Amino acid sequence: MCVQMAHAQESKELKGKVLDAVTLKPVVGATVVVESSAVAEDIGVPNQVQQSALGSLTDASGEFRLKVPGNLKYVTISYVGYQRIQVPVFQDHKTILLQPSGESLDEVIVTGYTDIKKRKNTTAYNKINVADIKQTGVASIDEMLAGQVAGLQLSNLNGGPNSAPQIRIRGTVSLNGTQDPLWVIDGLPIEGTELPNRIDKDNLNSLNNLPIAGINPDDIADITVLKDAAATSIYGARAANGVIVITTKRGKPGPAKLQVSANTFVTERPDFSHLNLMNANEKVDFELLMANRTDLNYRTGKGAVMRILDKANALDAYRSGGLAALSPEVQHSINQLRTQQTDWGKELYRQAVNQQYSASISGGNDAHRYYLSSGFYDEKAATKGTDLRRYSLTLNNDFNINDRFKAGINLLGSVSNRQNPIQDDDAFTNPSSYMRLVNPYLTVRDQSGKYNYDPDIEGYEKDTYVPFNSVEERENTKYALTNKALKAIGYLEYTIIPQLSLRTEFGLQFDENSTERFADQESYNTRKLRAATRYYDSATKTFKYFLPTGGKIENTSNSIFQYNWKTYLKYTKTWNDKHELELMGGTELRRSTNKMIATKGFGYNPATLTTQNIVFPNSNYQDDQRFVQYKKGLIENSYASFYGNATYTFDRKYNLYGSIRYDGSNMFGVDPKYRFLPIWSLSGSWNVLEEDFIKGKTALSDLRVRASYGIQGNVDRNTYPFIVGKYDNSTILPGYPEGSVVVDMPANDKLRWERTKSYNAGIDLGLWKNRLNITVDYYNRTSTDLIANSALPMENGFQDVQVNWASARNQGVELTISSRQIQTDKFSWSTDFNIAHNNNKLLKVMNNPKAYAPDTQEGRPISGMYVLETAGLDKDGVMQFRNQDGSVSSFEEFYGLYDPWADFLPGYTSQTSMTAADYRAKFKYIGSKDPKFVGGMTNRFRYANFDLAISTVFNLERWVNRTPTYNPAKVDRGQNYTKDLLAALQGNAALPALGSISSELNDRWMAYAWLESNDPINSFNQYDIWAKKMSYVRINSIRLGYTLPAAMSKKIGASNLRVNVEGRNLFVFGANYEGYFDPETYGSYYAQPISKSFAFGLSASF
Amino acid sequence: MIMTASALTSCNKYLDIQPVGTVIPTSESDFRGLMTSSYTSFPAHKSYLSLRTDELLLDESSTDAARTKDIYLWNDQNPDPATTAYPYLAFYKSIFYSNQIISTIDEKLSSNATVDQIKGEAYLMRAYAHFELLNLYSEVYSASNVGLRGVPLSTKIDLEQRFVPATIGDSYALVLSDMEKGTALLTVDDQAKGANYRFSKRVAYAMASRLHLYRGEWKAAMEGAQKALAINDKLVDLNAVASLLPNDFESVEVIMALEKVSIPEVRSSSFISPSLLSAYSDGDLRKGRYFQKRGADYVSLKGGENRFNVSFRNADLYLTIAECNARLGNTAEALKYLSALKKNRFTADAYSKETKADAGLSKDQLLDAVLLERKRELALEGLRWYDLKRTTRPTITHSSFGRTMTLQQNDPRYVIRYPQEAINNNPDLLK
Repeated sequence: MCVQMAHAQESKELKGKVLDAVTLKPVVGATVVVESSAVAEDIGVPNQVQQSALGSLTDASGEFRLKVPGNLKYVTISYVGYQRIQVPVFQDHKTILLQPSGESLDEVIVTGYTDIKKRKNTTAYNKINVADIKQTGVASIDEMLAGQVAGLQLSNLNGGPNSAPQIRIRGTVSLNGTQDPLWVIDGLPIEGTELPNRIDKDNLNSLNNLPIAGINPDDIADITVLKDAAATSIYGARAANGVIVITTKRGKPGPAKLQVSANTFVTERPDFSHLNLMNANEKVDFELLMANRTDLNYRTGKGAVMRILDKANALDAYRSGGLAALSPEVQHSINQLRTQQTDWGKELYRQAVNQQYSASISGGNDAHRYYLSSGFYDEKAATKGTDLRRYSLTLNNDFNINDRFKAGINLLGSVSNRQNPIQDDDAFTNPSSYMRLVNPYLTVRDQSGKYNYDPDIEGYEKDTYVPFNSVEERENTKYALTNKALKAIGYLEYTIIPQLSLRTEFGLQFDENSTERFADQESYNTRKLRAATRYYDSATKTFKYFLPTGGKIENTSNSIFQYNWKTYLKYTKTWNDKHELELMGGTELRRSTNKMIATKGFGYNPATLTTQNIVFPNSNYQDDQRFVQYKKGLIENSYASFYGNATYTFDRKYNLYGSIRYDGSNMFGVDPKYRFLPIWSLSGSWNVLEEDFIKGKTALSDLRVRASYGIQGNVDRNTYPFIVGKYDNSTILPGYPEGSVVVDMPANDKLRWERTKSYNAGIDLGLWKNRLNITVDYYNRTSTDLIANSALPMENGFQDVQVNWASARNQGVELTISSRQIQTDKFSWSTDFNIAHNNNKLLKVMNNPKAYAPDTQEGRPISGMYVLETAGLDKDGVMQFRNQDGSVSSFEEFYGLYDPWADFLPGYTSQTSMTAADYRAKFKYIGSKDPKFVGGMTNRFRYANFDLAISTVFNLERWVNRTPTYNPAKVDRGQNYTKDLLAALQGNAALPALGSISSELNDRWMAYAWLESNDPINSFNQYDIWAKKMSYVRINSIRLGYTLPAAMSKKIGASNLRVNVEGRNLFVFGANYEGYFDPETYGSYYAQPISKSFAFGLSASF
Repeated sequence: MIMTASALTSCNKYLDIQPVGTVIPTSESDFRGLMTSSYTSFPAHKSYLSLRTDELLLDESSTDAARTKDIYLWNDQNPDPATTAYPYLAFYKSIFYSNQIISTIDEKLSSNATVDQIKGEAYLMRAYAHFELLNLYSEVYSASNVGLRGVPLSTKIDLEQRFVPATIGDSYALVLSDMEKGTALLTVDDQAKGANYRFSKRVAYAMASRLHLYRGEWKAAMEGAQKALAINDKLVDLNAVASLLPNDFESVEVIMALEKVSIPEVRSSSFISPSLLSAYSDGDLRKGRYFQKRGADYVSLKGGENRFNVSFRNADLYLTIAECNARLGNTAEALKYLSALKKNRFTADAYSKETKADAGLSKDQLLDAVLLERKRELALEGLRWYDLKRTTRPTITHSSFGRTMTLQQNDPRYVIRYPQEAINNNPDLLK
C-alpha cells in the first residue's frame, strides 16, 4: 500500500491531440482514459485514499490534457467509429491517429476461440461486415456471401427461397465426406448444415432447413471466413472445408437505441422467351410434319394432331394428299389447336409481393449490455406454390460481474415455414421441367371448368394411364416444412491473474423439423400410388386396389439436439517490451442426437383429419416401404477434443503460431487407438514495416508476409473394419415373422484416414494510410487417400465399397483489393474487388477398368468434362465423329456397331465391338466443370445524403453440359421442344436428322438403336456440341439509399431515417444461354429460375 | 503426459456409443438372424424363368409388361433398360451370409445342436445358391461339359479376391462337398410349419435328388428321393374336400417353402399359355385348382403371395423316382410312383382311365408320360425351364408387341448370359 501510494504521488500531465488517421481531421469528444478504472489517490488523511476515475475528453480541436500517475505505462483512447488504441505514456505533446473501424491494424480475427489481433495474424482469412453486403429479399446470410470472399465459390443450383446455395472454399478435398464448410455461430459449431454433395432433380425439390437459414441477417454483425490450415486447424477434422464464423450483434454501452426497418419487394415472373419453345402454331406444324414421316415409330400415337387424324381415320389420306385431302371438320379441329395458346408461364409462375420487417433495441452500461431483436420475413417465389415465412427472435446479453468475472448469454430463436410443390420421380411433376414439356395448345381446364388431363405424359399406355394436370397437382397437394430452432450459447470468463484467464462456453442447439406431404385423392401423386396397389382378386375375377379411398398424408419429424461444451485457459505475457507470448489450451466435449420419425396415413380426409387402415390382400406387401406407416431412426454421436495453440511475437516484427487438436469420436467397432487423429498447423508472419530500415520511409502503411503449413484429415465413419449387422424383421412365410440380422455394407479393415497437407503463402499490403489494401494468397492443398465408392464384383455379395481411392491437389491464387479512392465530405467512392482461381487436379486415381466413360483421369480435374468430338452430319443427317488421329468416322464405324445375329435374326439387335477401354479412349478432355475464376466487385458511392451500392459477381470459364434439345432416335411428338426441332424437320441440314430404330424403316437403324438405348452410357449427352464454356457477370444488387436530413428525422423523433430502393439480379451478362432461364443454372431443366426483384425499404433509428 | 493418457481413457468411455440397433454377431440368436437374412436374400429367379418357357403368354396391357417383355422374348443381349435384370447379386448375398456364419461361428460359439444346425444350413445354402447359379448361367453337367465355364465360386469373405468363373466340374465339386458337410451337421430331420423355409435333412436329401437328376445320375437321384420320402411321403389329395394347393407351405407335402416362384410382377403380366392348358386332360383336378378363367384368358392361382413359396415338395420326388426308373428300364417301379401321384390329382374315373392307358406304354412313351406329368404337376414353379434345358431343348415361339421371336431348337440362349450389371462389376466373367 505504501509503495503504491508513493508511486501515485509522482503524477504527471499528458498533453496531446487526436486526429482521424485517414482524413487527419481532429476527433472531437474522444475519451482518453487510464484503463484500470480507478486509481487510489492520497488525500492526506491517514489510512484513507480516494478512488477517482482518470479520464478526459478531446476538445473541438482534438486536444486533451490528462493527469496520470507516474508509474502508468499506457492510456487508452477511443471514440465511436474508431478502433480503440493503447498509447504508451509519452513526454511533451503528441499527435495520436485514430483508425476508423474495420480498417485498423488492430482488427481482430474472430476464430470462435480466442480472437487474434490482426497485427499478429499468420493465417488466410476474410472478414466481412454484414452491413456492407446486405441485400433485401434474401432470406439467408449464406446467399449474401456470393462474390464477397476470394476463394469462396457459391453456386445457386436452384432459384427461389427454399434453395440453399452450394458453398465451396478453396475447392474440394473430400469426395465422399462432406464438402461444405463448417458454420460457427458465436462460438458454437452448428450441426446439420450439410447438403448432399450431388444435387439432382430428385433432391432439388426436397425441403431442407439449414440451421443458418433460421438466422435473420439483420442480427449478424460480421462474418469471418477462415481459409487456410493455420486458421482452421483449431476446429479439427470438421474444418477441412473451411470455417465460416458468424458473430451476432451485441449491445454497446449507452442509452437504449431502437432500430426498425421495413421492406417490401416484388419478385418478377421469369422471362420465358429464353426457353425458345415452340408456340401452339409451330407445335401443330411440327406434329403435322411428324405425321408425314412414315419412317418414325417412336410414340407414334401421341400429340393432339395424331389423335385427330387417328380418330378420323385420316392418316393415310393426309400422308398422300396433305391437309387438302382432309375433311373440313378435321381441318377445322387441327386449325383450332393453333389458336389454343395456353400461357403455361402464367399458370405455373407468378409475380409476387413480399415483405420483410425487423426491429431491435440495444444498449447498456459497463456492467450489462443487451441486444434484443425480432424479425419477420415472408417470400413467395416466382414458382407458384413455393413460399417461405420466418419469424425470428434474438437476445444477447453480456455482463461484467466484476473485474474478474464476465458472463453472457445469447439466445437465437426462429420459426420458419417453407412450402414447395409436391413432386415425385416423374420429370413432368417438376414445374420447371413441365413448362418445357407441356403442349402449348393444352388447356388447363375444359369448357365446363374441369381439369384437362395431359394425354401425352410418359406412362400413358393403354389402361395404365394415371391422369395428370400440373395445376390440379399444385392445388390438391401440399408439401410443407416447419422448423423451430433455438440456439443458446452461454459463457463465463474468469481472470485468474491479469495474464491468465479461464473461459468456458456452453452451447445448445435445438432444431425441430417437421414436414408434411399431403396429396388429396384427386391428384396424380395419389392416383399413381393407387395404381401400384392393383391386385387380382380371384373371388371376383377382377382387379382391385387395396389403397383406401381418400388422400395420402406423410409426416416426418426430425429433431436435432446437440450440446457443445468447451473450456480453455488463456495465458498472455509480454516481457522486455519485445517478447509477446499467448498460450491457449482446452477441451471440448460435444454430443448430438438426431431423432427421426416418419409416419404415413392413407385414405386421409383433410376435412375430418381421419385416415383408414390398409387391408393388404396378402402378406407380400407387408414389407413394402411405400406402405410402412411408422418408422423411427436415432443417431447419436459424441466427440471429445483437446486443443491448444501458441503465438509468439518478437519485437512486433515476427509472429510464430502453432496449433494442434486431437479429435476423438465414437466410431463403433474401431480400435480406440485409431479414434484420435492429430490435426496441426504451423505458421508465421513478418511485419516488414516494423523494421527500422523501412519504418516510416514509404507510402506503405502495411506490409506483411505470411506462410502456413498444416495437416487435416477425415475418416469414413460408416465403414466398419469388421462385419456389423443391424437388427431387422422379416416374414418369409405368412404368420411367421422372424428376427434377422442384416449387413448393409461390406467390412473394410484396410480403410485409412483421408489426409490433406496444406500450404499457404500470402502478402498483405496497405498503401496511403490503408486507403488501398491488397491481399494476395497462394495455396496448395494436397489430399491423399481420398475415400470413394468403388464398384465391387457382385460375387462379394455387395456392389460397392468405400476404399482409399485417389489423391488430388487444389492449388490457387486469391486476390482481394479494397480501396477508398475518393473520400471527401460530400462525396466518396470505394471499391471492393476479389478474384480467385482454383486449379484442381487428380494426382492418383484407382481407375475402374470397367467404366465406359473416363469420368476421372490422372492429371485432370476431379470434375473434368470429357466429350466425344463430332465432325458434322453425313448425308443422312447422322452424326460423324473425329477420331483422335484427326480422321472422320461414320457413326457406325466410330462406335464399332454390328449385328451379332445377322445370320439367323438380322435387324433384331446391335452390339458394339468396343471394349470398355476402347470406349474410354474415344473421349477427349476439354476442361473443368469448375469455373476458372470466381469473384465479385462492389462499388459504393455516397453523395451528400445519397448512397449507392452496386454489387457484381462473376464466374468465368466453367464448362457446362447442356441437356440436348432432342434425341434424334427418341423424338416424342407428344411433348414440346425448342424451335430447333421444327427447323430440323423443315430440312435444316445442320441439325441431326430424326430416325427410327426399326431395320425395316431405316437403313441406319443400328446408329439409331445405339442412340435410343443400346449405348450403355448414353454418350449422346456428351457430344462436344452440347458442351459450352460458360462465363457470366451478374449485377446481383443495385441499392440506392437516401438518409433524410437530421432536421427532418428529428420531427418524428428519429435520430436517423433512411429510405432505399433495390433491384436484385436485374442484369446478367454472359455467354449465350438460349434455352435456359439463366447462365448460372444453364443446362438444368429442373432448376427454379433465379428471379429478378425490386425492393423498397424504410429504416429508422431512435 | 500421464494426464493426457488418463484423459484419453475417460474420453473413450464418453465416446463408447453403440448405435441403436447395430450388432456384431456373437450369440446363437445373432447367427440365426444372419441365417434368416441369408434366406430372405435368396432371389425369386424362378418366377422369371417361367416367362422363358412355354407356360406363359405376356399380357401386353399390364403395367409390368415393360419390365418383363425382354425376358419373355429371350432378349438377354440387349434388353430394354426397363427390363428386370436376372438375379445375380442376390445369390451371392445369400452366400455372403453363409460364408460369414461358416467362418466365424466356431470362434464365437461352441458346438451344440442349435449351432451345428445353423452351420449346416449355411453350408447347404452355399451349395444351393451355387447350384441355382449353375442351372441359370452354365451348361448342364455331363462328362463332356465338365471343362466348360461354370460360375464364380465364393467360399470366403475377402474384398480383394478375384472371381474368375470355375469350370463346371470344379463348380459341382464345391456344391457336392458343401452338401456333404452341411448334411452331416444338420440336427433337424424335418422343419415345422412356418420354419419350413429352412434346410433340414429332408430338404438336403431332396436337394441331392434334384442335383443328381439334373446331372443325369439316375441312381443317386432315386436314392436321395427315397431318403427324403422315408421321413415323409405324404401327398395332397386334390379329391379331398378343402384340400390345400400342393405348393401351399401348410400342405402335407411341402418339403421346403423358400422360393417365391410366381411373384406379382410376373403373375400380373402374364396369361397361361394354350400349350400348358391343353396339357391337362378331362378329370385332371389341377386345371381348376391351378388356373382361373378371366375374360378370354386364364390366369394363375398358384402364386402371387408368400403362402405359395416352394422349393421342394414330395410330388417332385415321386416324379423323380418315376423318371429315373423309366430311364433305367424299371417300368413297373416307374408306373408305381406315377400312378401314386395321379391318384391324388385326378378324379377317380379319370384316374382309372389314366392308369389303364399308362400300363400299355413302351419304355420311351413312359418317359414322355412322366415328363408330361412334370409339366402339369410342377407348372409355374420355375422348374420347367430346367427340365427343358436338360432334356430336349425344344423350339419355342413367343410374340409380343407385334414382334415374334423364336427360341430355336438347342438355342444358345438355353444358357442365360450373365447379367450386364454383373459383367460391368467383374470383367473376369467374360474370360
